[in-house]
Amino acid sequence: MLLNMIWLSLVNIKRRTLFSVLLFAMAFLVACSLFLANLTHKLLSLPDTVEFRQFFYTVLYSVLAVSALMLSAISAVSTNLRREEYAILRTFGAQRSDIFLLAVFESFFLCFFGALSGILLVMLLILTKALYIPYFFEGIMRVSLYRLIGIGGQAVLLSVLIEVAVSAVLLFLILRKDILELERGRL
Amino acid sequence: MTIKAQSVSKRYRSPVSKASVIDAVAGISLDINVGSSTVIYGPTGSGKTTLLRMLSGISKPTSGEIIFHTLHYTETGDRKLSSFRERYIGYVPQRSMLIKDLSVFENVISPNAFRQRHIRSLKSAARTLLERLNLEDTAQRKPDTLSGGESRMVMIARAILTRPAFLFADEPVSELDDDSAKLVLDLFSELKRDGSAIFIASHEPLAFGGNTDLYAIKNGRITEHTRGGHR
Ligand SMILES: Nc1ncnc2c1ncn2[C@@H]1O[C@H](COP(=O)(O)OP(=O)(O)O)[C@@H](O)[C@H]1O
Ligand SMILES: [Mg+2]
Repeated sequence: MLLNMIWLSLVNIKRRTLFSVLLFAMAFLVACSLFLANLTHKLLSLPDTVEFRQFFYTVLYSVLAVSALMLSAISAVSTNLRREEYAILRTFGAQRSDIFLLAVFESFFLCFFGALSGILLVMLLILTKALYIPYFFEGIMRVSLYRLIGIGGQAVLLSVLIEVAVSAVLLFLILRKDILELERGRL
Repeated sequence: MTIKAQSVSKRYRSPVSKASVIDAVAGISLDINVGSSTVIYGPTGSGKTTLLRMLSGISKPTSGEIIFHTLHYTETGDRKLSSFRERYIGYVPQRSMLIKDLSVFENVISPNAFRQRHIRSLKSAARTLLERLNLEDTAQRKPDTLSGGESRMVMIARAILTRPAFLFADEPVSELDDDSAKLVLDLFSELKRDGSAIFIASHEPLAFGGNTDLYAIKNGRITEHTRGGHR
């Protein structure tokens, strides 16, 4: 049944291109900014980088806050627009838990790959020195791979969690209703 | 296997005034056996849709009981009733109920994909069924590009994809031309031969094979019952 869930979620992602692209992009931004902020914290500990570090933090945390907010908002709107679909699926036998699971799968695919590509891009920029920050390149060469994966994983987890949590809360509110009410709400 | 309805009623609060009520279905009793066919006919507003939705376990009676084996609809929680619908019930709604973002092909499969079957077998069953209903050209289209009759046929395909033991079809052929109606009714007869129960609501008595139970319904009550010979 795992295969069925994967098929269902990929179909839904494909058919709702606009929301999929938006969610992907926001997860990308959340992960990029959190990853960079954490790296900055790790790598720029020298005294002569204080001013630069503060500037950098301000920028990164603003981007993080805005993109996290956008991610939640887009996720909420997209879930809400799908009431009618949930009513239909419920009518033909889908459990509430099936719909939750489907939402989790969709969020996971979008946000996991969005966040992952964000982190890979940041790494690429640092390693090719396209993103030039004093001591960054030298610093990152000394960080162990596990550490790096840990910091990256944290960023991925955060964006996936935001999306899953927001859609789960909304789904809970929507799916509490019985099917008839759910259907009436579609008009 | 039988679904038994015992003096089933459904009372709606009137949408206009809070005090008055509508008895959409008022004390209907009937049995639905697998391998049988039933047509219930009556004018608009007589309670056919309400009855079909209750029998399929989509909404619950206000009073009375519907029983399948040991499952009593009114006492059964959402989880169990959902999985009962999933396993045993096919339902063709009267008005269009298709997911507007998905293609016809995906619409036929998706509500059926949560359990039971493997996605690959669902896909090949859907292809075969759409071909039989002459819908293969619409498979990749979105529901809002379909005619009323076409979307009805898509909903029929979705309902019978997993060959449910009980099929409830709400005015399945009222929007169809004669050829398409024949195609659909032939498909229903085939299902019946294979052991499913076919239960059709229609605004006029419908000729559907032999041995069909006919019920006339008016103001939520059965006014006439013609047995369809021995089975
Ligand atoms: N959700 C509802 N709320 C209030 N009244 C309803 C609702 N659904 C149906 N009714 C009323 O119940 C009666 C039976 O409707 P319905 O079952 O749709 O009849 P039919 O399918 O035979 O046309 C009608 O008078 C209709 O207005
Ligand atoms: Mg009706």
